[in-house]
Amino acid sequence: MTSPTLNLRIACASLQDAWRRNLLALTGLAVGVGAVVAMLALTLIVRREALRQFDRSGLDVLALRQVSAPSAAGSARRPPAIDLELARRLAAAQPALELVAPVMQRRGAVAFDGRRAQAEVLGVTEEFFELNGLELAEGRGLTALDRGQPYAVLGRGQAAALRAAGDGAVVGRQLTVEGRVLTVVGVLAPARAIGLHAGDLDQAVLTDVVTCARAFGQAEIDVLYARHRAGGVTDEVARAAVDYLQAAVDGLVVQPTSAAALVAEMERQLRLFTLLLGATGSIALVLGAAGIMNSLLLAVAERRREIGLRRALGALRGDIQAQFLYEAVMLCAVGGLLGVILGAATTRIIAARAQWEFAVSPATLLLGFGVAVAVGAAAGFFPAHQAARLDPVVAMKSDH
Amino acid sequence: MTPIIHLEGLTKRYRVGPDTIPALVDVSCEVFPGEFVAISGPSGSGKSTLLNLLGLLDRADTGRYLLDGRDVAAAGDDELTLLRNRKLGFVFQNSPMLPRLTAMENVAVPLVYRGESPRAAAAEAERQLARVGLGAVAGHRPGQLSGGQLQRVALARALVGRPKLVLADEPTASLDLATAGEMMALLIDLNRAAGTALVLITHDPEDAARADRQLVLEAGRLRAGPVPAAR
Repeated sequence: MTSPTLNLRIACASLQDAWRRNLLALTGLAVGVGAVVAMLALTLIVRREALRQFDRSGLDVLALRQVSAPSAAGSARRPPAIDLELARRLAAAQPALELVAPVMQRRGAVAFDGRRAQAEVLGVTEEFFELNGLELAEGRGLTALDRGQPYAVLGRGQAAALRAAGDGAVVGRQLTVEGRVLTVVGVLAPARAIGLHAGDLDQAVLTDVVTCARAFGQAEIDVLYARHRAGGVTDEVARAAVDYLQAAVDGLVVQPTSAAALVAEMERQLRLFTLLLGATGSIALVLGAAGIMNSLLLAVAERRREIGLRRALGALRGDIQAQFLYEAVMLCAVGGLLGVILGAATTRIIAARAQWEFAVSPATLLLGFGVAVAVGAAAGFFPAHQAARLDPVVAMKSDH
Repeated sequence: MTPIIHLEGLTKRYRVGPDTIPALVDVSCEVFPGEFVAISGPSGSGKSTLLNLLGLLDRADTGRYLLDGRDVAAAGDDELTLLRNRKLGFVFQNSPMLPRLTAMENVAVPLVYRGESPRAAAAEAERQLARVGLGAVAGHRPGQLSGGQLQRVALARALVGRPKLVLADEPTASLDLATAGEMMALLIDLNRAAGTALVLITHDPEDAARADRQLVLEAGRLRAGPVPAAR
């Protein structure tokens, strides 16, 4: 008859006695489990963060970006470009598109109260606000009535700078963009990354597309954001829009990007990242298991006399095997617990630094812990088997 | 009366490199319930080998061993362990203990392996410790006990399962004269009081002389020893 209570009691006491060596042995395992937990949690967080930018715009959006076509050397001809009129025609000609938002993306001098700095200036229309679901912290957004008017909406960062330089009010204040005076009519709610827009909206100055063209002396639209009707196949809609634009302007090259394709690519990269981290975590786990096995083999060698005595007093081989397996599993459970804490802490630090929302699912923690216990059982099996096979007479004669 | 031990032509050889060394040669004897038998002999004569065979810790190459009427040759490993636990008690040389358990827990170990509840095992262990005069140190770990105390704990452990036979391997060898005397007195008292058969391996002619019967091992062969004076 095996005696679980006594086996457990001896296992606990033995682990306590050799706690320094055991602590060292479970460090590798804790790192391995920590890596697995961090890997799973970060993959989840990154995916969630990446998808968050499409929360408001949805995944049925496209970006049609104008690519600079190579012009003949010495040619004085202006390169082909999308203009506001073409953007309007696209919206009318492509029934699959329900919203088209032309955007000029410039970098220019923004000045107020005698201070001058370079900032991103976006020439947009009211569709940009609608398509990206932009919310305002103060004032209002830009409408069709603001076409060509000297108004601006500021990102949160720009508004903070303006606020700090004055009496606190932002809406109604004036600033200059490339020397043109604009009145602030609104401040955006925090919106770092939105939809397919490549840039930090918090640091941007948004003005009407015509006003922007006047300020910079260029009427070229850099990118068209568009939303297609629900149920449409993104690739087909994108191809039709690109064909339309390239047919309208001779020599124009348009590069389409879809949210769906971007998410698919991101998920592919995340899978690679997961595989890489998984491999790293697995190596750490294998090393951790080797450490645990080594520690247990040492324990078996050190306690041969004790094993022989227990066999003499009535312990079955199963008792000896169970006791060393208990030790392995308990050791790995502690390693797993430390690993889970380590993994969660690492995830928290990385998420805080990257300004991601921290989240670790209970399933991830359970999986990390479960992996540790499974590794313990696997690593402990061989030493436990060795201990159970010891000949009691030989074991009793041992020095240990 | 069925003998507790019945040995018939027991042989054990050890292989050392290319050579085979006989440790026991054609050993036959019987030990009856309640009997106290002393086995002596020079070092290397096969005393420990015989004790290991008697204690079911090892198997003979040839011959027959009946323990309490049961032929042990065909028994499997777990069966031997159960027989050892139920029929035998051990007092080893240098009184090995499980270092992480208290004296009481050490004494209770055979009962726990037998399947008794920890509470019942502890109660019986405390009773046995009190019987050998160590009730006060039941909670001490082996490292906190003297050599004499450890041997008495070992004796309590040997007796806790009410075995039919106690095998004692030079239990006084590492003790001072006075403590050794006390230990022997205790062993003989318990043998007489409980009616437990006692096989004592000893180098000490005085200890051997206190047995009911003396056997001598020489070069692996067992023969009758001097007839002890009546006690």
